[in-house]
Amino acid sequence: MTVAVHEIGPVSDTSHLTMEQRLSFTPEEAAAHQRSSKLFMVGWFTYIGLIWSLKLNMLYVYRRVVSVVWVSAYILPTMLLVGVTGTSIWLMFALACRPFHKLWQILPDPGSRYRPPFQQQASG
Amino acid sequence: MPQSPAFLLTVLILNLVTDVCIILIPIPIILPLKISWARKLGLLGMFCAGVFIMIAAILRVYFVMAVSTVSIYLTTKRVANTANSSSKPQQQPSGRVEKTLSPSWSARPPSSGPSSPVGSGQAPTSPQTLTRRTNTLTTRTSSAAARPPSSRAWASVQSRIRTTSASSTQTRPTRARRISLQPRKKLGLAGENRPRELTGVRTSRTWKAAVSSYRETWTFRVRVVRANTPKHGSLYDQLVALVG
Repeated sequence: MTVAVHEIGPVSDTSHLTMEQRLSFTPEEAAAHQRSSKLFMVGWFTYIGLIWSLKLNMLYVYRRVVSVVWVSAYILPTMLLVGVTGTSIWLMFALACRPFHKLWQILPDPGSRYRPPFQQQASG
Repeated sequence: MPQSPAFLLTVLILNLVTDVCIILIPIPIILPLKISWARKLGLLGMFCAGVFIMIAAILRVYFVMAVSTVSIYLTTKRVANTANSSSKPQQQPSGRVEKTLSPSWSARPPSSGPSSPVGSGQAPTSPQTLTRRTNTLTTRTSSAAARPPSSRAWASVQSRIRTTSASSTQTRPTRARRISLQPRKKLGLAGENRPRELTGVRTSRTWKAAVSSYRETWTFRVRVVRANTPKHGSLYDQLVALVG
C-alpha cells in the first residue's frame, strides 16, 4: 500500500479527470495515469485486507478476554459480520466494474454512473 | 474509476457498522466494574478510541468527494472563461458553412452480421451505417478500449473540413477560421456521456482522439465558421447561436 501511494502520488489516477484532461494526454501520460489507477485498485484490496484483519484480531482478543456470558455470545456473530462484510467489499471491488479493465480506462470516458451529480451536469 | 463514490461509500458504511459492533463489546464489561469513576472513564475512553477512527473515516470520504467536486467545478469554469475571452471583437464571422457528417467512416468492408435491431428510422441511415452499427453492437463490449483509433475516420473528417473551407475561402483570405465539431446522437445508440463540443481555430490531435473514441455512439457535425467581416455578434455568440 505504501509503495502504491508513492507511485500514485505524483501522477494522480484516472478518477476525477475532466474531458479536456482526458483528451489532452500524450500516450505516456495516459499510461502513467492508468498505472496509477491499477495501483490504486491494488491499494484498495490491501487496505481492506489490512483493516478487516485488524478488526478480526481485535475480536479474537475479545473472545479470549471476555468472561461475561451474554457478551461473549455476541462476539461470534460480530466476527461473522466482519468476515462477510470484508469479503463482500472485496467482491464489490472485483465485480462492480465489468469488464474490470474499464476501471482505468481513459478514453472513452468509462461512464458517469458512479460520479457525483455535479460532474454529470458539467460534462453533459 | 477507482475513486468512485460507490466504492468510497460502501467501504465507509461497512467500516462504520463493524466498528460500532466492535466498540460496543467492552462497554457492558467495563460499566459494572467496581472501580472509581475516573478510572472507569479512562477505560471507556481507551476502548472507545475507535470512535476517533470512525470520525477520521467519515472526514476522509467527505473530503475526497468534496475536493473532487470543487476541482471539477474550477476546471469547467476555467474552460468557459477561456472560451469567452478568446472571442475577439475584430474577428467576427460573416458566413458559415455547415456540413453534417454522416458516419460514413465504415471504410472496412461491411461484415456479415445480424440485421440491425435499432436501424429502422430517420435520416442518416445508409446501409453502410447500418452494418457499421451492427458491428458496433456486436463488438462494442470487447474491443472498445483495445481497438486502436481509426485514422481513416479522422482522415475523412479532415478532408471534409478541408474541402468545405477551401470552397468558402477562395474569395477572401481569412485570418482565423474556427471549426467546431458538434456531437450528435447516433440513432438508437445514445452514449452515456455526451462528448464535449470541440471548437478551435484548427484541428489537432486531441480532436482526433475525441472523434475516434466517440465514433461508436456519436456522430459529429462539422461547422466551419469563417472570421472575416464584423457584422453580427462576436464569434463566440455566433457559435453559441449556432449550437442553440
